[in-house]
Amino acid sequence: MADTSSPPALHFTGHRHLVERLVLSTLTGRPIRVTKIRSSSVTDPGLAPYEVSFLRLLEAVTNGSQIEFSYTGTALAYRPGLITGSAAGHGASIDGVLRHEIPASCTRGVSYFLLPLCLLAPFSKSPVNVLFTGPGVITSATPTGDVSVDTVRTAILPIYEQFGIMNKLEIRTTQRSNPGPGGKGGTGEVQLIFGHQVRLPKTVHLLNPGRVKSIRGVAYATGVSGANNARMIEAARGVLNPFVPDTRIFSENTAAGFVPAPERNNAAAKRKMGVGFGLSLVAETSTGVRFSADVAVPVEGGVPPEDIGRKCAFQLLEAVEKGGCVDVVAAFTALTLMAMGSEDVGRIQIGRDVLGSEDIVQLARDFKTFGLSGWGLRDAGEGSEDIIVSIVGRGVGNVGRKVA
Amino acid sequence: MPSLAPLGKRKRPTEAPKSAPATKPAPGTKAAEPESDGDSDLQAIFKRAFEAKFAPLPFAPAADEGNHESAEEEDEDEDEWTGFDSESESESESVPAPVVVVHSTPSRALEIDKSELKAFLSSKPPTAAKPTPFPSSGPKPTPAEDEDSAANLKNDVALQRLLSESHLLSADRTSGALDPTGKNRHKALDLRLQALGAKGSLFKQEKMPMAHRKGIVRKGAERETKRRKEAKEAGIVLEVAQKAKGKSVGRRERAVDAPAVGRFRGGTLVLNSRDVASIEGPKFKSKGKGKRRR
Repeated sequence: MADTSSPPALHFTGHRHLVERLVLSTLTGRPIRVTKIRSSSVTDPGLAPYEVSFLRLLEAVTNGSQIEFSYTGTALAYRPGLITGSAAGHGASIDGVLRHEIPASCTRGVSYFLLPLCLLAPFSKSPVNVLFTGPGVITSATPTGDVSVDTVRTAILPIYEQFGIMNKLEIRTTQRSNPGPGGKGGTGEVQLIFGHQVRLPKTVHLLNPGRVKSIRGVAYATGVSGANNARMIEAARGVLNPFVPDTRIFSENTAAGFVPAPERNNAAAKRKMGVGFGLSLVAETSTGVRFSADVAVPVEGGVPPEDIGRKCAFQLLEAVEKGGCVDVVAAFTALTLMAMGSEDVGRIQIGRDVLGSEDIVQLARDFKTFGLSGWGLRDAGEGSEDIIVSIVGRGVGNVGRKVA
Repeated sequence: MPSLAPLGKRKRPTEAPKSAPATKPAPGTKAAEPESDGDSDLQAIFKRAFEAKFAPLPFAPAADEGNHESAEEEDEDEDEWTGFDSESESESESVPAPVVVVHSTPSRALEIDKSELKAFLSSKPPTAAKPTPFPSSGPKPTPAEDEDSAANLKNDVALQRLLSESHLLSADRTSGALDPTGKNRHKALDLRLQALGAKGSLFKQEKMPMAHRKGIVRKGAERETKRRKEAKEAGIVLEVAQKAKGKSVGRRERAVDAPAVGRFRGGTLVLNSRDVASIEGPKFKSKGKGKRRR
């Protein structure tokens, strides 16, 4: 792939939206060059550990991609290759599982890796099967703004169903973990299995958000008392029950994982890490639209579970209030899949506040830069404040599938 | 839903003056005045004298009647409390910090379905179009209807069986009953088993000497031809004879080291004329004028 005939690299600056740009670059096949990555930071300039880890992951699931850093890590050149997935013998183990170790200095939740990987996976040549391990896997929601792995599974993965991608999708959480001390590291273990590869995702017309019919959720407590779960659930249901009687929140109480902590007289010593609790809520409407909310206890602790439960419930109500057929967390996934679809106009109704959020506006600009179609916007009307976004698919789809 | 604190809560206790907030200056000076009781009057005088000399007392003296009154009027206020009224303002100089009261309806613990819990907490994403098993709210079938439908179903089954097994009945003329008996019962049972998906008939013998089998097959074929012949003579149109569908014999599994062409026997490769022809390829006979040659 990497030959002289490939198009010139697109130029971006700054560390923000790096993951989105890398994903778009891989999907469209355009090389990119990113400069001035935290160049003004005195303490830690250049790429953060989690960004480097993501680039490693990207290299593992693709074939023929080239990644070059500058010395300080403030500049990055990426030339995408073919998305191969977890092909045995190509980084993956004999049973086709690709192990990805996340460093202990990682401050982002594992959803930071999961969401873009899920977006690449449908366009892969072979199934994607990645096991996230290592001392940096945080499965809970994080203060850095990542959602929990439960939200990815229960709110983001169902979106793929709308695009005709629904078979053999799994996220196995074998060990849960909250952020470790200082918000760094965790002891979780998560396996993503994405076994449904398509040529082109279906064209969608999501124009009816429907009405919320049920609320489901997972309360997780890792290494702390299960009573925290009960208290979070009680508080959240106290808020939500008057609105939706069909509110069910399940409780997951697990032991904390261990990390090696060698001492002078005991080299094999281990230490518990990643204790804490949190709540993930998903509201499902009558038309299958899902809104999610996610709150975990801060790293410093000191917040009673009732506050977490109530906060999460309010966050969910806010997400429902914003309306549309996707919430902020899912918008990137939905819009990108639409843009990668067949050469047909797909439409999706999005809440005004969701569309106007910084991330989505930047995403629209990036789409334009990558040569994807522009967005057509019009008011939804019918007493709704929402906006209908029309996106013409690129019609290229899965290059690996076409060749195979 | 945070709402403002009902003020009455903080003044209610009368018996235990300890529970009154310590920071609050005594509101009792005025409240105690209207008492005509000698006892309380005295107390008020003492109190004033005391307060003239020292700091104000931290709490109001217990005055039963007056406190009851105030508690009552505050109870009325509890419902729609709009702000500090003039009386309470005059009573207390410092505004108490707002107390956040969270209103949440006590939720009845829904028993969680085990299967649903498993489905939601499994590693698979929950499917969007999951049919929720609602208990049917429609009118329940009356017992009479129920009985009727059961009887209908029974009759249906009986009819179906009669239709499919009637040929057995015609052979058995001994009993007039519809239910087959004896050997026919076994045959009927076998038919039903086959209808339910059994592999083959119980009465078909699988293993027998080859000569035996050949005889059976030949006899069967003879019978068929005879039947066809007779039908033709009588002018009866029969069903089209179905070609016995032999197994599609593709290329047989050959040994790995077998030659691609011919047979290797006794150290020699034997080619028959067909093999030779296939090697030589098609021959063009130059019979024509040579124009059609390629």
